[in-house]
Amino acid sequence: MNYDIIEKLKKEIEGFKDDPRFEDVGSVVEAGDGIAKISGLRKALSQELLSIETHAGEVFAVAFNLEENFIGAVILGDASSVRVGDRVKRSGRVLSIRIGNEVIGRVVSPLGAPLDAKGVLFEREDRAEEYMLERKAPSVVERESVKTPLHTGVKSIDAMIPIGRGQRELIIGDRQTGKTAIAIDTILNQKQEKGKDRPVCIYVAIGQKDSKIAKIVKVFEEAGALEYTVVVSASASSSASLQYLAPYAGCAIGEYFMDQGRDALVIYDDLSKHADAYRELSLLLRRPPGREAYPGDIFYLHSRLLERAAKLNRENGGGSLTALPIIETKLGDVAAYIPTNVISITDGQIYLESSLFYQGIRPAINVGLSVSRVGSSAQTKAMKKVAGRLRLELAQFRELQAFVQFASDLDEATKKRVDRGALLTEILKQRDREPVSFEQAVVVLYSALNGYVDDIPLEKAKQFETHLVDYLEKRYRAEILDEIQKTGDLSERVEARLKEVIGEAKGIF
Amino acid sequence: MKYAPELYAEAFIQALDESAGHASRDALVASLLAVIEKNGDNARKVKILNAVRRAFIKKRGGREITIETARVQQHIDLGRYFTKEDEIETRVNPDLVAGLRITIDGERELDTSLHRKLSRMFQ
Repeated sequence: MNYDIIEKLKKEIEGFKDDPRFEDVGSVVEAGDGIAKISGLRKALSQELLSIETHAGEVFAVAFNLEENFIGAVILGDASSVRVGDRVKRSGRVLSIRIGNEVIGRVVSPLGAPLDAKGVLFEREDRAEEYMLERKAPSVVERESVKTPLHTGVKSIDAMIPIGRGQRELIIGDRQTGKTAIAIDTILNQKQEKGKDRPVCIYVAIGQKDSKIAKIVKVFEEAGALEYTVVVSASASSSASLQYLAPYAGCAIGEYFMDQGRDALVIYDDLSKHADAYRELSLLLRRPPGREAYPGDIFYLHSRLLERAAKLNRENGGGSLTALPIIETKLGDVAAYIPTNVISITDGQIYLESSLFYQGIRPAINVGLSVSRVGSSAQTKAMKKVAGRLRLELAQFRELQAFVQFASDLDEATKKRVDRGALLTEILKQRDREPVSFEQAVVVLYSALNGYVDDIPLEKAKQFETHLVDYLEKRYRAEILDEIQKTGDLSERVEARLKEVIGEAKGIF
Repeated sequence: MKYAPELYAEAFIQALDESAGHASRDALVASLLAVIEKNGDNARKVKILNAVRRAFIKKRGGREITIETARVQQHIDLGRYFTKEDEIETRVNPDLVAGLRITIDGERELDTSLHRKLSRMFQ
């Protein structure tokens, strides 16, 4: 036998001090479907963590409904082991998660337990801090306006629907329209940010298939994006209670980094499933159902979560938390209950359409219905200068496109406008997991919007884009691209040089 | 489930107070059982009767004390801690291993059992 272990145990036993005193106790009077009804514990707090002593060990539950004679609690652990008559004790703590820098690169459960078989989360417990899952959003005086861009690497978003650090931008669309792909691209694109500018990304998977989550983690790993990403997983096989808690856990992780003065980006994939999980819990707790059987506080459920996204002012560290919630619509119905709620809470939406997706326009962003309410003030000068006309040109193109189908002969100006629109649509197409840096997007859009690509056949437009970017990367990285990246502007000198280089590139295309 | 057991208990005690001298206690108990049956709450009869018992103890100013011990005790002298209004029930619970556990009104407990000490030690 190991002498050291025995000695250690002996010391622990000798030093053990027990001070029994009266404490509050309750008992389970009803249990089932992950819900327990508990009598006693009159002084329990809302959202307090309760400990149920079951035959299989200690199981935790959260006090949800505080009624006159009972507490409705949501069981967080193995619900099948909870039986009627089990004793319940208060913990005196509300739900919280332990967070530290070591959580980066890990896959964790909404309660902070590691799920990636990479060992313990924290080598030293003092390196982690306790963060409450439910926390008050920063007040008005603690915030400042959103003015730093968060580049997604998706040309159409960075050009027309810019997102700022601290903003809440909804990604909405039917199933299989590329919502998660945009979120993943945004995370992958952060690799291009250097040092402190690179935000910590948190991907919260709610009710997703385990296989899909594993695939996403692999994509992050292979792209080297897991170095700055945390994945919070509450898959479809998790209980409704864990799915309900997942976005709050992700938000708490984001807040930890925001409080350290860093930037964080949190993606909630998706809040439709989150609302469904909350509906399930509420109905089991016998809360009165409202529209579409969701409980009355379903708006508050999402507003209190998304309000926590903020850009803090310098006195409060200057950190930021950007939120990209995802909502899945059914048959493109954006006027359904949960979509309208979240649209009204967020600072804009990126609307993805199935019809565009099947036409081959990917990312299938409907530029007309997509909007960013605060991002334009966070857009770089270079992008603003270049993409200012883009939205207008595309809007005109869409309007003309309907007529062109019927018109046999068109005047020269209309034809030109239609051709330009088709070209821009082609240029804005982008493949999955190939985010484009903002300086590259600037030069590509500059060439297309200023007519340098007009004489290139539409089917060769993408090819020319790749050629131009390659040419610039290889020969003019420092002179043009680095200059745009550093200054965030397209100065007259750089613009003049860019014009020449585009001509050169065209010459050898 | 039409009414909570506590509501039945409260109503029964009030009926008993108001009918002092008019109706016999046995007749009121029979009426209570008939009402429980009529309301389809027969399955919860034990819970309701326990609630009535608790309400009686509370009304006379006492507490419901449960003393659990690991083995059968010949004599537990805890009388000085309780009043004659309190209702004391003793139970044997081998899960405690040793020591005792006192629960008051099902809401407060003093656990001096070895089971608790061991679980705290290995927590």
